[in-house]
Order: sequence, then C-alpha cells, then structure tokens
Amino acid sequence: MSFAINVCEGLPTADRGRVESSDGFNEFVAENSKRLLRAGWLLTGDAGLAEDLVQATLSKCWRRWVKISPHTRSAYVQRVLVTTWIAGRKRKWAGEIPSEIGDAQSPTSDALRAAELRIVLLAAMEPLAPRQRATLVLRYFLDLSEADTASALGCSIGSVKTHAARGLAALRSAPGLGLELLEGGTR
Amino acid sequence: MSDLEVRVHDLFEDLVPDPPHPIDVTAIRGQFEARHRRGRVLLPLVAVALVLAVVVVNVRFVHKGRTSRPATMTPPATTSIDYGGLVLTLEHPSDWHYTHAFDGSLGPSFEIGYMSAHVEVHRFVPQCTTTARTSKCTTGGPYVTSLPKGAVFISFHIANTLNRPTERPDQIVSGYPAYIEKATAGQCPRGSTSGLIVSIYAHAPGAIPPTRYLVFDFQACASTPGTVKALYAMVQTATLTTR
Repeated sequence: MSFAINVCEGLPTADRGRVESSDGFNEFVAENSKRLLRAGWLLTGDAGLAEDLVQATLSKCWRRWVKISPHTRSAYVQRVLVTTWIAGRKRKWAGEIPSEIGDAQSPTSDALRAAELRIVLLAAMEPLAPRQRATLVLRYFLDLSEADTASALGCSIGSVKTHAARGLAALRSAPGLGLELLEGGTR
Repeated sequence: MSDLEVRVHDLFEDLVPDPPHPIDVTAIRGQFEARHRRGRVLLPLVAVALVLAVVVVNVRFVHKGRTSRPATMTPPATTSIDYGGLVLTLEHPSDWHYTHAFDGSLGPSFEIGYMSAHVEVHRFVPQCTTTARTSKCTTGGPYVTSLPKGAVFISFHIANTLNRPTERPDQIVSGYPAYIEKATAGQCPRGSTSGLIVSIYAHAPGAIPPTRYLVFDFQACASTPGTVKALYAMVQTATLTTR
C-alpha cells in the first residue's frame, strides 16, 4: 500500500547543497506546476488529490534533480507523475471524497455548461483502466508523442496505440460526451 | 492526429480547471528535510528497541520455554509510534512486536510500520529497472500471504491529505474522531478469522491550508477467534498525543 516507484534515494550532502542553492527547480515548478496540476486533475478527478499527487511527484524528483538532464526533466517528471498515480490507486486511501466544494462563483450559463461537461468527462474517464486514462492524459493533454508516452508508461508504442484507441472509444460512447466530441467545441 | 483526437485535446484544454493553489516549493523541501530528521532520530531508537526486544524474547525463551498460549493471553506491553511529533501509543499483548518500516515514499499516504506476532513477515522493497526507453518498478507486494493459527498482523499507515476520508467517523479515540470497522475476508491474509480497520483523524498541526487531514490508519488481522477483542481493547485505550 505505497507508491510503487522509489526513484529517489538520498543524495550526498554535496548534492543536496547544490539542490538547495540553485538548480532551476523553483523555476521548473513555477513554469510547469499549473500544467502538472491540471494533468493531475484529469488523472484523479479532484483538485485536492491532484495537489497531493503533484507534490508527491515533485518531492520524488527534487531529490535527484541535479542528476536529471535539463532536456529530459519535463518528461521525467511526467513519467513520475503517471507512475505515482498508477501506484497510488492501489491504496485503500484512493477511496476519498472531496471535503469541500470549490470556491463559489456566480453561475453563468457558460460556467454551468462547463461544470456539467466536467462531471460528464470525469464520469467517462472513471471506468477507464489506469493505463488507458494515463495514456489519454499524456497524449492529448500533455501532448506527448506515442514514443514518449510509451517511455513514460514503460510499455510499447503498440500498447499506447491500443490504450489510446480504447480510451477514445470510451469517451466517444460516453453519454453526454459523445455528442460533444462529434460536434466539436465545448463552450 | 485524427479529428477525434484533436477534439479530445480541445475538450481537455477547455474543461480542465485551473488549480486553486500554486505548488509550494518550500513545502516540498520541508518534506525532504522532515524525512531525513525523522530517519536520523527514529532509526537509532528503533535499532535499540529491536535489540532490547530480541534480548527480552531470548531471556523469556530460555527461562520459560516456548509457549503456545494465544496472543490475547500474554501480559500487556506498550508501543509508541511517532510521526512528526504526533505520537500514537498502544497497549497490546507483549508478544505483539512493532517494526518500524517507513517505506520512503513521500506521497499522501504511506506505511510507517507494522506489528506482528507468530507470523513470518516478508518485506519487499520496490525495485526499479531502467533502460534507455523504459522504466519499470515492482510494487512491494504483501508482507504476509497467510496467517497461521494464533498469529496477528497489523499494518500502520499515515495519510496526509487535503481530502476528508470517505468513512464518516463514528467513534472517539483519545479525543479524536475515529472510524472503526471489521475487516472483510478479502482485506485480510488467508487464514484470518477476524480483522479490524481503524482510522483516527487529526488535523495536521500548522498545516497550510488548515483543512489538511492527518490520519493514523491501521489494519489489523488475526487468526484466533477472540483476538478481535484484544484489538478493540488496543484501539479503545490508544492515546494520540503530541510531543
């Protein structure tokens, strides 16, 4: 009942010093956390869980930040995000309900329509297998190529194609969402 | 990309909400430091406790010989489990032994240790193998696949999350709301005759935002009828304090 990956062993003191001084980590978080949190929302279906997931992901990555090539950091973090989420789904604590509704806003017809579609979207994604859901997020939200998605998930490109096709088919056949996808446009 | 793929991409972009809070980099570094502090303090203490436990067990074995009494018949002992200054103290039969087993994960929920009696425990550390293209990791797997007669196995977890747990607390343990239920057969190792799942909820001291939940969560399984009474007694007399 723990996150399966254990990618980050303790760094030597010298490395930790380098991490703490300056390494681009803060800048990376500032630039990418919003996108990671949104991807986390797509995976978990909840803003609080997404925050927990991204924080756990960044904690794991930070400890070996200096060893990750700057060119591959984004892909590395995305891979840890997805594997952490997949492993975390095995926990008993995956079964939670949101404690609070988000900040109240004046409802407009557009906002209500978007909220309704969000619920439909999450309902459509919930029954997907974890790897199918992760594939959809990596391919169509984080815009990874099939090869990069395969690398992130630790599977073949053929498997990615299969996961994506099944995931897309599930979304297209989802009540309330299929029509939206066939017509295009959401707002 | 096909037309459908483009529309799914647009749908995601349009519908995924902006996050309510930015990620706090300081908190991430704080988690790392806290874990190292815990490790520096707890590991030597656990090592000393284990050595003492081994000595005590050996002395008792030499003087009294092996006993076949069930777990519930042994005199009580006390164990304190410390997580970041929050201390859970449990009174339990003295042949139940606690093992610190912090798994190194920094996720919202992770194991901190287990208590066992009369059962062989196999601990698996997750292993990762990385090639140029892929990275695969094994999961920990079950510590205990089956319980022999008279055995007890309890795993302790900490959850630190923004979300209120699904279960509604219906009891009070040491002044904190708690949820206690009997474990089902599927939740316990083979051979179990009874089990108990307990969650004790506490707000994380000084947590930001203040709605974070810190939860001691433990699952107990036993293979002797009647042991569940000892488990209930252990929960009812548990104390949760800060140091």
